[in-house]
Amino acid sequence: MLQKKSIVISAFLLLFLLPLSSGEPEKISLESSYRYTYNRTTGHHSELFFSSSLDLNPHIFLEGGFSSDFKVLPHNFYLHAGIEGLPSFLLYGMTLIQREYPDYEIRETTVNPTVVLLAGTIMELELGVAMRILNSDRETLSFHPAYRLEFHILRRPVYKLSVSIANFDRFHVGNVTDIFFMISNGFSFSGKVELIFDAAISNTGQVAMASFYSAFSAELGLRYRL
Amino acid sequence: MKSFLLLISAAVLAGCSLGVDFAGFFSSYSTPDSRFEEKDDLPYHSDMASLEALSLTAEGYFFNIAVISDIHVKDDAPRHLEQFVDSCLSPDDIAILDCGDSTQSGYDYQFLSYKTVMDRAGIPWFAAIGNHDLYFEGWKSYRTMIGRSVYSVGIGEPGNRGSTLLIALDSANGTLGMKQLNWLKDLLSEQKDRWDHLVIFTHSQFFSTGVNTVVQFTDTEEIYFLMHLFETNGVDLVLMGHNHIWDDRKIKGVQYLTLDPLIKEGSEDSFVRITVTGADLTWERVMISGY
Repeated sequence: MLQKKSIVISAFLLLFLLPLSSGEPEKISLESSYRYTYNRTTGHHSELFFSSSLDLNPHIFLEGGFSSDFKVLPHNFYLHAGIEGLPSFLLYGMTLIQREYPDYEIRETTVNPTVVLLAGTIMELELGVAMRILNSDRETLSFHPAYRLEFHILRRPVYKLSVSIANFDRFHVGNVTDIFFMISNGFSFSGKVELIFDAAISNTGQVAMASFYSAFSAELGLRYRL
Repeated sequence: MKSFLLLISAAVLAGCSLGVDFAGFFSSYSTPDSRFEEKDDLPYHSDMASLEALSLTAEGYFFNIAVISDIHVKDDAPRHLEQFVDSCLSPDDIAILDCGDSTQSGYDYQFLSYKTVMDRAGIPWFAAIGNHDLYFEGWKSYRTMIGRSVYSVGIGEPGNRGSTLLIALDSANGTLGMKQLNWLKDLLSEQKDRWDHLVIFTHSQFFSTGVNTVVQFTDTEEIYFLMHLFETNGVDLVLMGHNHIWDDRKIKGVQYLTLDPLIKEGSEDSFVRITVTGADLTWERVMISGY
């Protein structure tokens, strides 16, 4: 078990560091962030994220990342491959996510193919299907709609502001009713370093017309473009 | 901005005519925690004499419980519920469980209609509150006309063969809330060794049946917490509704059922009959036809 974990950690460290050795610096980015969440039912959560992305060519890019809840490493990981610009307003993505819940003896594996419509415009709509299985038990296999609607309010060289409504992010795909509202800020320094700050609220009852604001989260991180 | 407000107003008005409270997208009258806090001040749904009769089922070696869900009573004549009560119950059914959305819009006349027919069954009945029951400030009517939304009821005496503890959870907002979750943890910890069987019934379902699933218990981590809690405390059966699509799964020894609605729209009509025979608890999906 320990050996398996070491392999996974090594693989992701390699993935995280791989872009450093690439010869095309403008197409590589590294990111690290910390997210705090208070959920009115399940309490306080902290998670530290590491991720990197690499543009292989103008149309294909790869992303990967892992995170820790300060108890388990890696707590979660994801791998993402995307095709963009064919045609210019579309982006196709495929994401594999694995999340560990050791307290509940559950390992959640999700495959999430998505399509981004109107990519690169002031509004993006991403739709997909999440296929989820727990502990490789076929009885738990389930399918969920995945959605993200994002508005780019401001896109200045030094500051970016967007708001989004979604039920998934890179590290987690929620249930269809797991709707969250996020405001994202990006402050750019020298064109290479970007400070990111996101804040979000979740509402467990919204989709069923029984609104209940159930969680708040804030994320602070740095993105470095080589 | 004017167009946006016009759109919102139109949606709310359209919702009123459909019996759907679109204002509930932004705000609800009550929360899981506030309803939980009221639980000890509110009555059970059936009268106390019926409850005592259940607890006296000390020789309850054999009995049935009928389970229904998503009745969505809209008017004074809930035809499907009447047929269920008049034609589907058997003499061995000693209680009825309802997994919520008893009414379409949470109006008091809908609760009255529902309660009148349920009382006609002549056996104790117990409801779990659903999201539709909260519409249009429905909790105001529910709390006075139906009763508490979180509770447990025993059948038979603890320690006797066939003794069964029924636990109703309030998941009408897609979550239990921290207070109810802590109460459930303590209850299961205290009671798990006292009863032969533990049965939980609630409204929001844990599992999606496909991309056509548009409503569900919301937070995945909360679901995993509950699944682990049920598994480690020996819960036999978890009954849910909400989705209007039948689903049954057995995961780590716990049987999860998502019931059909007791209306014809979008699904087959059926109910579940639980049979307790001493240490054995079985269930059957009973199809209803001939409306």
